[in-house]
Amino acid sequence: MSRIRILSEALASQVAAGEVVERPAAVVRELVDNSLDAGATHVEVHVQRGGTALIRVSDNGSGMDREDAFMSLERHATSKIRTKEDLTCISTLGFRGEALPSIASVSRFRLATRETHALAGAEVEVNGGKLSAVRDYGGAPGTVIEARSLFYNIPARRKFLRSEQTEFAHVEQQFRLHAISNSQTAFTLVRDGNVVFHLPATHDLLARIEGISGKEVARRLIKVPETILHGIRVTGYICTAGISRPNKQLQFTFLNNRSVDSAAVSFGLREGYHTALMKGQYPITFLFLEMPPEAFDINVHPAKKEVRFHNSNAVREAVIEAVKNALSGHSSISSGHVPFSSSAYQATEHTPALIPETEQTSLRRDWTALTTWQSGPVETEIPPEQNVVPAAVAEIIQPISVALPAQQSESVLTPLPAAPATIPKFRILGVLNKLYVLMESDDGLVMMDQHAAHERVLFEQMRRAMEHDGVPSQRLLLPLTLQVSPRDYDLLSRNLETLAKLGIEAEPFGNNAFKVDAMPTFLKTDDPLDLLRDVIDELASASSKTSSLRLGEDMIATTVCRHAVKANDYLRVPELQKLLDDLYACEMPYCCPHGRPTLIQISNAELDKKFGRRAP
Amino acid sequence: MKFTISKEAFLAALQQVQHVVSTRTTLPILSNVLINASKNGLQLTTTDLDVGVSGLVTAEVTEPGSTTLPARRLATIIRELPADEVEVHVDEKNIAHIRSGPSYFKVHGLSADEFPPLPVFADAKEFKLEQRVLKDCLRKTSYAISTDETRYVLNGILCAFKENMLTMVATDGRRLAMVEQEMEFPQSHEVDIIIPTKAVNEIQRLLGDEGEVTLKVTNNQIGFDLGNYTLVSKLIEGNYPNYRQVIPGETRERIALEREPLLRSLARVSLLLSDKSNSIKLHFTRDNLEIVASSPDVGEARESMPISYKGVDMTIAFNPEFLMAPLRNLISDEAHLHLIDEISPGVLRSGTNFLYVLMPMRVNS
Repeated sequence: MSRIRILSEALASQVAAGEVVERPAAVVRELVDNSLDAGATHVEVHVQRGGTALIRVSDNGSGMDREDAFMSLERHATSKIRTKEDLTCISTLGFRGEALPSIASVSRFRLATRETHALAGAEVEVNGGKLSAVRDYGGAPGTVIEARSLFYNIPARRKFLRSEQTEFAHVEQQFRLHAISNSQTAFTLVRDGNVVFHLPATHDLLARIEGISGKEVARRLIKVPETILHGIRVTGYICTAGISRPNKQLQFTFLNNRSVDSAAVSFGLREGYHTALMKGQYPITFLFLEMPPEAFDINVHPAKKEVRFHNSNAVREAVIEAVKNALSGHSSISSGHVPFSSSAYQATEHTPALIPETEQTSLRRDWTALTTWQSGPVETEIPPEQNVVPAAVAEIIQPISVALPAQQSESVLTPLPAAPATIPKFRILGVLNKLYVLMESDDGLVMMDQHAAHERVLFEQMRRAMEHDGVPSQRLLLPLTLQVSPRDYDLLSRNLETLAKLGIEAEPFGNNAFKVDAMPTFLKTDDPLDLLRDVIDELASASSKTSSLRLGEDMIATTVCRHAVKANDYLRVPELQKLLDDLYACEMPYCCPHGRPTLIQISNAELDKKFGRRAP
Repeated sequence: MKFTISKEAFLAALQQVQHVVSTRTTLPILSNVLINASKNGLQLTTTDLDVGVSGLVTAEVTEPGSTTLPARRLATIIRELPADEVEVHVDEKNIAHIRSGPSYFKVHGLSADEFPPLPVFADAKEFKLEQRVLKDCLRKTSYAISTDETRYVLNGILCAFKENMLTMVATDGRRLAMVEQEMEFPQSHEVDIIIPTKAVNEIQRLLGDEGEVTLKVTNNQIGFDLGNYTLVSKLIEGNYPNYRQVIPGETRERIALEREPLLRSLARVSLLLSDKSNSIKLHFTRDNLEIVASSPDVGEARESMPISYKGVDMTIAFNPEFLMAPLRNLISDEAHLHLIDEISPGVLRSGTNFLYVLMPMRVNS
């Protein structure tokens, strides 16, 4: 007797549902995708008990007639693609024709829809994949889809649902992705009857980001100037140098308005930020990539999160370019046009006492408390107690970067104005712990890590000197042979000139080997070959546009670290002032060559909040 | 075991052997010095398993025996003792009772049985040299030994015994020092060995200006017999690079230089160097040598010295340390610099038997 049998229709759809619908957030993703594909200008998402009890997505999109309403529940039935060719150039969010039947097979499902001009629409109820009721529908034009008691008929999957809180967090994250990528659509998220987000339609992406992520995030962002490279258009907002998060949660990437995860993009971001980012930290980004649909494949996984690019190098380079454009545009501002109004600054108005020696220790004790300041509510239309964003934002220690005075924060909504050239004025108050220089700005307290700051200054000096004078190199008596993989061989062969600028002279030696004839002298290394391999790795990760000295930066960074003033080095006020001036003359003053911040700011507003002078 | 010994003699012997002792080891016995007391005196032995040193010192032994005691601590105790005579009694539990004048120390030792025995040299090739000669050869080469552990064959001095000539070579891949010493040995003794840095350093400490040293070479060990002291070491296994190949065959300019004045000039000019620019330029014009060092952020130093030079004007850059190291370690005051052009290796020669090759630096001007 044969043991292999065809699965029943119901069972097959439940198996397939497992791929598409793995948790409530996935239901939200699929339904909102549909709403947006239907041209909705307002999408409302209701969830109860984290989405396990109810998910309702209603929109004012095109709606469906009775026949389509039934068809939409059939497996692999879709209006979005028709031919094989369509699959290669998908411009809608959905296309697989799987979502609705999958959701319907694992929940108590209700679909109500009416086209704008139709007298009556259709209402269909499905229970665990079985049609249970069909009615005429006379509601507002558009579509309402409800999925209740998710996975009620699949206990195995229900067991894997996390707590209500966790599931809601996922739903909310999904909602944010949609809301950010479609700022011209109004969005509402309601949780257990309370409005969490209400986001009016806007043409201003930054306003939407602010609505979603809060003012504190939004005011640290800089606009990415439209960058078009290799046919890829990159826009959006990214954080300034020196700001980072320990995880990728605030790293949003959208490809043709679809949220995607892509190694190529992450890579481009890391490379674009380069030393502006601490190792192991991630930037806050809202990056929008646009490219022809045929240049990538989104049909990798039913969840459509993964994407394959036909030319991932091009994507990487476009992202690098965009980030560099954004940061360099900004750093030119910070070197001369930092939006601190020096006229507003009057030292006599603020007369903080110099911190007495004895108080330094007590100050230090409170330090951790100070750095984890809490952020207040974000002034959007959302009632403050329901806004969960600031709690996450609050973890960001606030490096100074864009540090706009609070009263100016409105101006950040528009592209940064070309403010008159002023170097920020800081009044040095004292030194904490023989390491952190405390300073007063007109926006609050600014702290500078003297070692990190000096490292940055020396780093740029040395780099400039090398760019200018070249790198002295010691010729080798006994050449080294460097054996590399065929891929690296090719890479190195194309970059011998770059290496020569770094003081490394190498020539092909046949059979995937190089003969190294000269090494730079400023390097003190016990293992030159190991160092060369590092350089190759750097070379592989750098884009063609990277400066040749970029490769040597790690070496320079290590060299200058030894010469920089250290913690516990006592610096007098003139020395501190000079350091500060030198720092502000740097291209990238906000972090040291290893990417740690050099300056951190606690604004007056935050201090007021801390001391209870301003209602949180 | 029981003996009486002069404090100074004991201390001197301990200091000669204690350098070998490992400071950090998982084998405690390697921190100890093996003491064998017999009618000949005290035999002190230390080893780190790679290098071993043993020395004999006279003592009045009343009860022969052997034990091991912590080497460094024993040396510091003996150094601080108040009287000229030390009396040591070690009981069967390897506890040493050290008495000197009013002082008494009780030191816990370990059994001599655990101490790793030094290798025995049977069937070794033997070479005899004057200690003074060997010391001089080592001094002229050892500074050029590489510390790059990835090219371990360079972490020692090559000693090539061939055609009645001992050739010693050390290089770190940027410069190479070589001495040649005539000596007699049968053809069957011809061999190339690499003596590791640690053994080189230790034997330099032991070598004196008088007497002979006997080298005993097996295929993986070398022993130095100096009479009172012996040193044994493993050899570095591997093939030393073909050093003959890097010695330029031709030369265009032979420039006679005075070692001492040149060394002092280089040292003075080097004062203006920094991490960012660590090369000095030798600028040769007719009968003149100008030494220049400049750092963009520090300043510049120049010094001229009259020389005999008839060739074309030439500027060549070197790492000053690489140029000064041999000058510092030579004794004779005459030296010759042989140059071809600014990118080819330079050769420093002194006497008939010393040769030093160093690669120039490439500096953008």
